[in-house]
Amino acid sequence: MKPNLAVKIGQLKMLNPVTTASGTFGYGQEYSPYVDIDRLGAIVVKGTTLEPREGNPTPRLVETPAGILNSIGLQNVGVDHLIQAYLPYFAKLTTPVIVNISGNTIEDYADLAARLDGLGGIAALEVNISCPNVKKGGMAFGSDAKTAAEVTKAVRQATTLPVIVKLSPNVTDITEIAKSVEAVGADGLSAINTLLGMAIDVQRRKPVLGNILGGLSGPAVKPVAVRAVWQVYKAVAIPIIGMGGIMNAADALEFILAGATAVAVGTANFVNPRATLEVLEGIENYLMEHGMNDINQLIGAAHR
Amino acid sequence: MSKITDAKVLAVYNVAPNTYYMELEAPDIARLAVPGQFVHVRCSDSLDPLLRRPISIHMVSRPKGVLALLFRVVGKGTEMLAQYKAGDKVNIMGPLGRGFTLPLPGSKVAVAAGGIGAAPLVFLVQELANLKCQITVYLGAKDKKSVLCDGQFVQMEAEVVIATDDGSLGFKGTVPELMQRHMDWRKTALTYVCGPGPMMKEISSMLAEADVPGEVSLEEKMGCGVGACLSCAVKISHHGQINTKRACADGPVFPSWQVIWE
Repeated sequence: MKPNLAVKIGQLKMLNPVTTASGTFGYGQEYSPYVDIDRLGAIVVKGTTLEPREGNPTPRLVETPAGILNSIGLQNVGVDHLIQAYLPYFAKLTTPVIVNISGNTIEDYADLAARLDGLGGIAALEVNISCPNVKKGGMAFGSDAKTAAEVTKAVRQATTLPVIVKLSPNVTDITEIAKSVEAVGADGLSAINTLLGMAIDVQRRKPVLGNILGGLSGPAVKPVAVRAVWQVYKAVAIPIIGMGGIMNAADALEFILAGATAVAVGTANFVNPRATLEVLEGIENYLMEHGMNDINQLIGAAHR
Repeated sequence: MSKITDAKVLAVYNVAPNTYYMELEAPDIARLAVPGQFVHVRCSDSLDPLLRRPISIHMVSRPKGVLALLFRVVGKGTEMLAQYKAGDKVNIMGPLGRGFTLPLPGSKVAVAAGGIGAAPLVFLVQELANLKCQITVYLGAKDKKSVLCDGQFVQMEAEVVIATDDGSLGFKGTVPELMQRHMDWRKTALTYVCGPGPMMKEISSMLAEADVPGEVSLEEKMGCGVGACLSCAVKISHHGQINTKRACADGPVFPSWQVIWE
């Protein structure tokens, strides 16, 4: 018998725990030649702002050992275009679509949440208070427990959709932020966003990225991400979507054992566009090999 | 639609300094590919380097289901790729991107290639020759040893004019300098350009001045290769409005007069 893979993040029902990290999977359709999107537990689409954004100067990407630094800078089409151009596609998918939202001010977040409320085709919001690549907003909101709570509260009041808050690892104590957003009604947490980093071109004696600083992702950050999930799981009762360097099912299981209810595949999509499905199949096989009939038995099992 | 496959390596040759020719068995990709498109190549199973490498499609044989790449070793990834032997499998995705626009049959066209930029232009000239076009190829390289694909272009009945930086073969100077002294490209229906950024920039402004439509194949650091990650942003001007486009999915080929050069 096939094990139960279904999980819940607040009122968001996922058929399985595998989703995608925002910014690594476009709007979903970019990967449809390689992946049956409807087999995924959910997809998290590109970070969206009120106005369209041009993003940062190039180079926006540089490889580091077992990782990449990016400084895309939230380039996106803006919320109006998202609704107009992509909602019909989202509505046709059976898999839930989570829209990642980002703003310069608390009002921006509330506006975005209100704009995306009550539309068919959007199942939840992921509140990005952790983007390291924008000057205003982004990480600034996510590195202080008080402002993180204010943003979350504003979004909570503006929408009926489940609210997932994406946490930054670039903080002294991630559990403080996690607790503060849980207290004002977050339904779930995404952990983690990228680690602030940089690279310097030794020949040119200049920073490599056009934006100088970037966010590190990929296998290099996995131990940091697993640690964050472990700590947050102990600190809060709401479910966690774990992410950071997941390349395969074994990586994903580490996050689940650390306390993640769901897992998001990010950088791995660039390396292997079928990574999400391979992670899903691997998790299912693991459960069967170990005679387990429900993924929920594994969540946080390493704590027990 | 793009495919992902473990392609069998049929042959690898070192054809010029740091330059390799690789033949792959990839019938699905060979069948779908058009000139100017690329494949996204997983150069090794290791995590360093982590990302794939976008490599332009050099030639295809649809009846044989064969895809050929011509690439220069520029770093760790391409260095690993050059080590593959016949019989190995290499994971590739493709064909990706939007290729060159083909002209009406019998048109007069020109092709400007600089260095490894010659690689995708062989596939293009193959198609142009099938369309009975009258083709002039301006082919530039560092020196005589580094001139690529000249024999192939001649075989496809293109007129080939060579420029080398050191003058060891043909005209001494750059491709734009060679073209300044040449008339043929000024009367073409379309001139295609692939090479280093400064060369493409210069030729683009020459084309604009001579009122000749051109197409350039741009190169930017790519992540996903499918238009999702927005790493390979390029500035494109269309009807006076400047937009950020994705080299991987909206290009790599763009109209020469629309590119905003850095």
